[in-house]
Amino acid sequence: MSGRIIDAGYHLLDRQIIDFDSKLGGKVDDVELTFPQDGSAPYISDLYTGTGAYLSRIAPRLGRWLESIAKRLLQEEKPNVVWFGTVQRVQSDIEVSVSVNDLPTHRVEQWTAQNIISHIPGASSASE
Amino acid sequence: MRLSELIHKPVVDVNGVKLGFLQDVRMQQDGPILGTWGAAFRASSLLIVPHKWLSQLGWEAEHTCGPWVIRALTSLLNRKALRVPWTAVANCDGPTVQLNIAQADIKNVE
Amino acid sequence: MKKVLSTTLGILTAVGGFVDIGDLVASSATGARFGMALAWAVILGLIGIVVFADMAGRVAALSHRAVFDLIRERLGPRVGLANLLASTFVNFLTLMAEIGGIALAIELATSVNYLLWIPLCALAIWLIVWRVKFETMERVFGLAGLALLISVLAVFQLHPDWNHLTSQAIHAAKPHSESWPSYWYWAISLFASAVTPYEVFFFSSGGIEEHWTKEDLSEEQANVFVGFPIGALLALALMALTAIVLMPLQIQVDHLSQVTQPVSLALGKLGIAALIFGFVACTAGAALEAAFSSGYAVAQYFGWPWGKLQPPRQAPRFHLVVMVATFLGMALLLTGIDPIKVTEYSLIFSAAALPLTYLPILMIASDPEYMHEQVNGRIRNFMGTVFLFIVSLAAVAAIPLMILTKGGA
Repeated sequence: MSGRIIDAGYHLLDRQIIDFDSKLGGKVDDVELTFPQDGSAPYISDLYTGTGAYLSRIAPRLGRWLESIAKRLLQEEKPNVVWFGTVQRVQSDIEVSVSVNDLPTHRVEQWTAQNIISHIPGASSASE
Repeated sequence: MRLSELIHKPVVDVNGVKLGFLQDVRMQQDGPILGTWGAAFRASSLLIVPHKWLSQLGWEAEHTCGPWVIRALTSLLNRKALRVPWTAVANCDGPTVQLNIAQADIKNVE
Repeated sequence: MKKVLSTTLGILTAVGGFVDIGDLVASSATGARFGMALAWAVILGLIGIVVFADMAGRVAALSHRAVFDLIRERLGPRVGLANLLASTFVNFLTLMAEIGGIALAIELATSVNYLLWIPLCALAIWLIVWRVKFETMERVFGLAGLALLISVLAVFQLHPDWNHLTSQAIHAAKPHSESWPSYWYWAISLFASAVTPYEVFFFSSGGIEEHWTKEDLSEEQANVFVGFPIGALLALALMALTAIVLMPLQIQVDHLSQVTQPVSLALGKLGIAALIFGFVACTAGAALEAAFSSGYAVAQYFGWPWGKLQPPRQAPRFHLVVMVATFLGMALLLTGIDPIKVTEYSLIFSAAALPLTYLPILMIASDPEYMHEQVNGRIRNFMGTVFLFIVSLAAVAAIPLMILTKGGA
């Protein structure tokens, strides 16, 4: 798809991210603009999603501190980043081609699921 | 640079005259190819508005829907909004977004 | 029959708004003090919630997006967070009060102190959110709540002076014994309790749990136009009961047991049994609504998976929020806090949070990007604007009036 025009803040920020299976995967907490070497206009290269990115939006200093801790703990250069190349569709929500299990927000969901929820009987079965 | 660092930053012209706040950046799909997405969204223009608190109510210039009263109020409060091509931006790293043209020379673009 | 069953979401939502523990007492208390003079506040609240729940339901059906999701999108993370904190506070207070309400209602039936019932009630509420299918829960509690229609029967059974009652309602006059601040405080309380945001969170998220699409718009409308008026009818019936029986005797209502007196007079023991059953069903329904809304608001704001559409393991943080809220509510109740006072305060705070909850809904309901060809027409937009103005007035007046009247004394 090419030639489309959007407003970065309006169409991307705080929008719901869903995976190819329509599963919910967090919100777009921020957008990364990459400035090319040749000094031309910047382009959108990544989406940010996750607690660190969210906090950076609300309380920048606290957020950056949290993100640097996350980087060290998880040994990842960019822990809360979704590359824009994986985006499939930008409409009222943002669909990406990867599974929700590979998105940054899934980390805490997984931790909560494994350490708290799974210990309660009935956690894995559908409701009656 | 993150988009959140740009949004609501004060915008000044080449002479230091304050023009308003950066509300949003319009993007066109003519950037480098990224993965399966296609051409990346590249900045083409920026929207400068006089009041930054309006967008906090969801009353953004150009995108407000709703009853006539709300749309009319939003248009009225945003009548001094400016849309400036990205080529007019000299520097956006500092505490303000500096343009390379003077206020009098600004012509609104689509 | 299927038509009746399909409106149970609306009925259940309405029950939480019009006859939860706070309203059971507020409607009865205002009936005893003001007669039917504040009936207009209930009617105004009914129109308000119909306008906004209908819009939120349509947004859910057309865009498959729930209210809090959209609140953050339109208002941004900061204002959205302020709204989330206020709404979560109200959701939590309501959940706590309703669990207390269920226990108080069971105490009426068993004469066993309500504090002993609280852990059981909290556990039951959590278990239902954890295991029971949304549709099943909606049907059971929606229909069980209809038991409270016994109060309507009781009104007729008392053979009241209908002219006197309607004249009280139409003239809406303040009795000499009451002050103006008190009059307006109770008016705003009744109005705010009818239009509480958690009803809209629950209704719109419930619509998504029910997989509503464009084809279900007529069902959505039936839910709104059948369910909410029934809720208002129940509230007005309770108001009328105490207006008829207690006001002439100048007896004030401050305990749930006093609400049973008029019904006892009219219908005897069987009437009271049905009434108490209705109390339990309605407070439980309201507790479930508040429990779900606690989870919905937080999860939707952050974009986490939510609801009953998948096993708990796949929406862990949603279920964790509900669990923590239920447990904390139970713990606080066991310290002896009066659940009824809690609802009164939570109502006033929710009134203050109303405008910023309804404004985004009103705007998105007109946005073709979300609604496609089903954008708001002139009438919906007009009603939405009028009521946005009214809720804003109520929001501004709520807290000063609460302070001025020391909580409606």
